[in-house]
Amino acid sequence: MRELLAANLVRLRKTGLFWGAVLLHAAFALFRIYTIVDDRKYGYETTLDEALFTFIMIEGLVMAVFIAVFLGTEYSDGTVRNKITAGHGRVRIYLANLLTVCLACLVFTAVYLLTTLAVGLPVLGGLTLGAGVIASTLLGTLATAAAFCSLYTLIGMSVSRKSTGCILCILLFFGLMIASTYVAAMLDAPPERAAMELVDGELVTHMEPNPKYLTEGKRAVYQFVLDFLPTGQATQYMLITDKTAWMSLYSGLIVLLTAGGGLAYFRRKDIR
Amino acid sequence: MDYVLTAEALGKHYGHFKALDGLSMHVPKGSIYGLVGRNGAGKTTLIRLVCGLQAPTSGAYTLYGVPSGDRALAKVRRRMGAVVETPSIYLDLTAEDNLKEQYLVLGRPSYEGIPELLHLVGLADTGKKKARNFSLGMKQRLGIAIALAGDPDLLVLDEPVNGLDPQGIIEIRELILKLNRERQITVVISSHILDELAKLATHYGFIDSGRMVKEISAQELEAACRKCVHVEVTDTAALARVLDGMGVDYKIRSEREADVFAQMNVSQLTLALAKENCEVLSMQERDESLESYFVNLVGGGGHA
Amino acid sequence: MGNLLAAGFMRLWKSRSFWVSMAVMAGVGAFEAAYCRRIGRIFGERIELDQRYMVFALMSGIILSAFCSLFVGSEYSDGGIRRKLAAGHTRSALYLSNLTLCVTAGLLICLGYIAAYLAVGVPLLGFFHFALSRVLLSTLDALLMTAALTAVFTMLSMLHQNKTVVVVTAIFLAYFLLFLGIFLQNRLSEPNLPYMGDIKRSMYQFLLTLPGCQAVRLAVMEPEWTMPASSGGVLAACTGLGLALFGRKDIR
Repeated sequence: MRELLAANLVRLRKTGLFWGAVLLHAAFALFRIYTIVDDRKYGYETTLDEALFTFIMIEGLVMAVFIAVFLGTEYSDGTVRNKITAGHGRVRIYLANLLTVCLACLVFTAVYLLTTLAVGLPVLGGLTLGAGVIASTLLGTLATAAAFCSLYTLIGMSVSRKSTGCILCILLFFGLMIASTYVAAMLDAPPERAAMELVDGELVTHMEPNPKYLTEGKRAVYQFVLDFLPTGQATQYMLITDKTAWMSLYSGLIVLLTAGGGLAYFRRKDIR
Repeated sequence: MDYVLTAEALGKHYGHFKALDGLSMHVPKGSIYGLVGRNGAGKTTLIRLVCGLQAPTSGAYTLYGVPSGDRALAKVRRRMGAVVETPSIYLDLTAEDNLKEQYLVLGRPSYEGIPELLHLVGLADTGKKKARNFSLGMKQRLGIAIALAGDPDLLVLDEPVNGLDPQGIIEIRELILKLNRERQITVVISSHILDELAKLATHYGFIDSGRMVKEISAQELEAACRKCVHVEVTDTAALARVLDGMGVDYKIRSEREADVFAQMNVSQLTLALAKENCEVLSMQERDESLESYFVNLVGGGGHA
Repeated sequence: MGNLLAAGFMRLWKSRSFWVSMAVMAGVGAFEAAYCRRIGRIFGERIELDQRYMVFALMSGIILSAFCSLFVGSEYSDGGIRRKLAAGHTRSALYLSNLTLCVTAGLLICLGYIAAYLAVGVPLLGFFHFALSRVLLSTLDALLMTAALTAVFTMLSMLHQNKTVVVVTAIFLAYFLLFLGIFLQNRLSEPNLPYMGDIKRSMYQFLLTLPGCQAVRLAVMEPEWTMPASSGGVLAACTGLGLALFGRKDIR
């Protein structure tokens, strides 16, 4: 598998899209710092810490495009055949590809973090959160990123047409995002809502129970969904959460399930 | 006989369609094996199976004595190089970078030998040009270079001269002959350009409708192909009478032309014909072509 | 061009991406209608047919970005463009026939949503609450907007041969316009923000009329004359630009 990884990494270095994504992450880091500077003008006390994990918001989309194109090229250029013909097993080819895209994601994250710290520390001052919290949150976001990578790798390795793979990955990301936004909105519904009625010719407001408010059992389910979906995890990492361990576990589960499924399919797939 | 590649009753179907139907094959070591068949006969499917791209539905093949499905096959595959249908090249990389990629895939310790390989296939001058901008012939040659990257002793080429100009065809032919003679590389070439194969192959496998119809060596083929003399006369009716009288097999082609399937004594024939007031305008010795042998073998008509 | 259209319609009829898009839109239409009823039951509210009718306006851009880039992109990758030019068809005929096909497909896909939505919704929720003229006007505006977006995606697909690049660009553009519309609408309807300058306000309002962005307004059936005007303008501009550039393009 070392050989496959070496070949993949050399190709990665020569892929324009990879360097484009690196630049994008650096630019996004600068943009995030700019928004904090802007926030402070309006009196908000935003800290540098909040900028550290914002990358996970775009990671899902960036990796969707990157993985679909990077892995799709192996099919469209036919080069996956070279690896199979040389005797490499299907499992190794799949895992090497998964590992490669995860490494690419790691590089993007590193670029983002370094840019944020390099520009943010002098401009915005120091970090306020403890090292432990930062470290665990970072690991959590990386787990989420790995879940994204594994999902998209499943699609990229299973779909022979690069353009179809792109569409599926992007639509998957937006589908997940819309689902998690909806779930979050449901969870945010307040327990009471204002209702107006006429009393003695005057409009009176009183509070009544909100039917949209989720009760115990339902709330637990919705919360689980938000914790499970990678996009839901991403939004929760924006606000410091104490569920890092659980969410990382779910991400790990997603990686296992999608990698397992992808491997099973790829092993049997007829390659033209 | 030492066989590098064999297949026993190999079958492959896609849904209801049978691409291969009990195909057997034996490729002798050191040979140039020509896989001959019409479009859709199953040549590419066979190659895909042997390269490990797809699993057979039934039957098995062996590579250097290792059967398909055996774990040891993975290692043995390093001794094989292949170009399947279209060249497998990264379009966004240069020729050199493509070879570097393959070297890495094969686990070769260094990039030594890449310039020589490029020179061998005639791509030494491509520099920084991306494969995307290569002509079809250049892509074919790069595909072959990639197949040669691991110093294989078995080369499987699926229609390697497809899309090449006459000069290119000659160059590839010379390359294959050189590899076979100087490096003892066994070559399996599938093609439907029979004239080209005839100049190369030491063995033939004739495929039709997913089965191996006949395997034959070039020598046996030459013996089987009938020698004939093509004559042009003024009166084929007279020729027919004379030849009947001599008890010789022949076929009238037109009013003035005929093929005679025997070694003729030219003087005897000419004199006999002169008695019938028939003039001989020309005589040519011809071999029955591979094409007509093939057509006779599998029957004419029907294409994919 | 008649030949090109005939050939194109046959290809459209057999196109998997067309039928998948149609199935998705019809499926969502039926689902939205049924969901309205369910929500109404759960929360004890009366949901009208109008509520989710215009959701197709929000979705059509995204669905069509995928469809157009695949449908027209295949013409390039399968050599269809080369074949037709070699057969003697003019560049403009080729461009306009592809545009017509994509716009027709887009309208059909939207109608697929509408048909499914009404088929499930009318029996469950009754007929429209809003005035029929408002519904029809919004529908027409949305269809025109879809046509305008289709023109944009067709232009992208005809001018760039790499299907993957076009797919990614088109989908991103579709989502960008939608989210921009949501953002602009949110900003404009914030009651408590410090008073927004006149220039900024009119700029936001102008942007909101762009196809894709206007879907947010159309979703709540608030049609204005500026929207069809903007759609028409984009349709004409993209077609003009596309024709001019395609006329000069070197085809591989």
